[in-house]
Amino acid sequence: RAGPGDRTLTLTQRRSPTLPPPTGGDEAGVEIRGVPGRHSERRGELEWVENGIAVSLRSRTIGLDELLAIAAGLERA
Amino acid sequence: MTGTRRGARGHGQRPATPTGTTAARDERWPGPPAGNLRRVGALVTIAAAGLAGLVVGAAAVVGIQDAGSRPAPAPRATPATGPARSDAVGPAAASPDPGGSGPATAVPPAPTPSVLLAWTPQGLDPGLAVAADVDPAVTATSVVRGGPVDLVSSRDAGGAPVDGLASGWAIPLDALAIDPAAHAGFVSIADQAAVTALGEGEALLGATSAGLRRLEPGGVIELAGGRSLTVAAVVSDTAIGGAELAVDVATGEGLGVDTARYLLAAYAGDRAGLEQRLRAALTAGTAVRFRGPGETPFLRHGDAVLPQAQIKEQFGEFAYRPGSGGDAFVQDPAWQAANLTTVELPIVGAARCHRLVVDALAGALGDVVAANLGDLIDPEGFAGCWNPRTTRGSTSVSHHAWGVAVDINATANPTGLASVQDPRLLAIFARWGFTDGSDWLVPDAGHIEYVAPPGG
Repeated sequence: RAGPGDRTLTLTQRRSPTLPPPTGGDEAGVEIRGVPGRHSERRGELEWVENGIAVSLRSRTIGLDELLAIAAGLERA
Repeated sequence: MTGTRRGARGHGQRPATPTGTTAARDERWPGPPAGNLRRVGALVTIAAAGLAGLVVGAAAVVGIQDAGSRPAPAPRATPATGPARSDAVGPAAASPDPGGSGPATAVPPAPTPSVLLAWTPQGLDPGLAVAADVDPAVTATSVVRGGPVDLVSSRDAGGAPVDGLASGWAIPLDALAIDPAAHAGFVSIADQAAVTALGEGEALLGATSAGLRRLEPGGVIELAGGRSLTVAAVVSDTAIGGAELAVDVATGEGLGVDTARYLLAAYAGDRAGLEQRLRAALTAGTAVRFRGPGETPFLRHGDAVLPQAQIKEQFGEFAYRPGSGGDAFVQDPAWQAANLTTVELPIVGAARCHRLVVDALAGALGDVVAANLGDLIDPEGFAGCWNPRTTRGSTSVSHHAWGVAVDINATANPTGLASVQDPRLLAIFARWGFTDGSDWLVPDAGHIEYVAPPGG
């Protein structure tokens, strides 16, 4: 179980051609792995769609730059 | 004794927050992903502070959940797309194009629909949902019900007590009831699985509420009347409109959370045209508020002020019990002692308010005096600050109960009538972090409420 100083994130994937409509109000467009995506600072979440898969990287402790770096480094099966 | 109560945070009395992170909140591990992005490694916790950066590859990510096996909620009109591709490329670091725009070209994502919120006072006008369901521009809808529930105790997943109150006392909670399948289309990817899976007798806690409750999945909330809810998951605050908890429709009906409050509509195209068509479907004389994302802190009904979870996080949470009649209730005296203070304010005189708001109040009123605008405030029209009661005509707790709102020139600005407040007065209060009810769907221009630090 995570404790102080830990840096964790959640990767979620769902089959979907689109992202859900933005409801947080703070979503900002950002390019992720060469496709348009979005980032919500309030949720600490990156979202994008790649090859019919909607992907989310969310973390309360990792900032946008690192999330983008993690996203860039994800491997494809 | 009323049991455990927490004072306001911001000056030393910070409510306890649950340990763990989002990763720990959902530890389901349903197996290999159906999607084409391979999980990067096993469950490995990154424990050291001060890491230069996560190493993507074998050992970086914790708390991976795969919702690929569960279908995403189907929109009513699905945009045409090509088949999902399975790109078998090497590690991203070795690929000349990690974005995947090489020969196995990624399918561009379909345009994301926009979302419109609509709500009407005293419950959602039934014409709105009917009209939205048949509107050609609308691809999906969610009708959200809402109402207060009373917590009488709680325990964590291991059965240890967390909140416990003396008999007759309760903690008011702001609750919503949703159709999980419909509502999942309006939450972020990370929250969709939790919302979709919400079952009867379960509750989703917003992240702020989970901190207030000190509960994680598996915890149990006992409500007045003998009902209990098991915490199924913690989701983002925005997933449930800033409410403290959400249940499914059937559970909501059993709890009295059964009044439709607002409609979310995903749509494509012209917002003004959609608003016009929805407005035409309203019962004659019904006022309606339309909002898009970002226009208010949360897409929900009653959106001009902070939701109760945010109020509690800033100003503390109290227990209450029924009063002698009317909309007044008895508030935890310990909370009052810890958080309320009586001060002498310019123009209006003595007032009892939350200690975190008095400086801003004094500052605003001082600026009114300094600008020689003191005549804009009728001292006889000052109806006070702190008042432990529900909002008129409902069972929801008024923000006056936290002492974070004042009624100024209330006699001249009764609820329901257009504002006669001088805009210069309201502008001064706005600079000090207050909002007012002049533009509310049911105007209440005498109500001036703290929503943000000055200049924020």
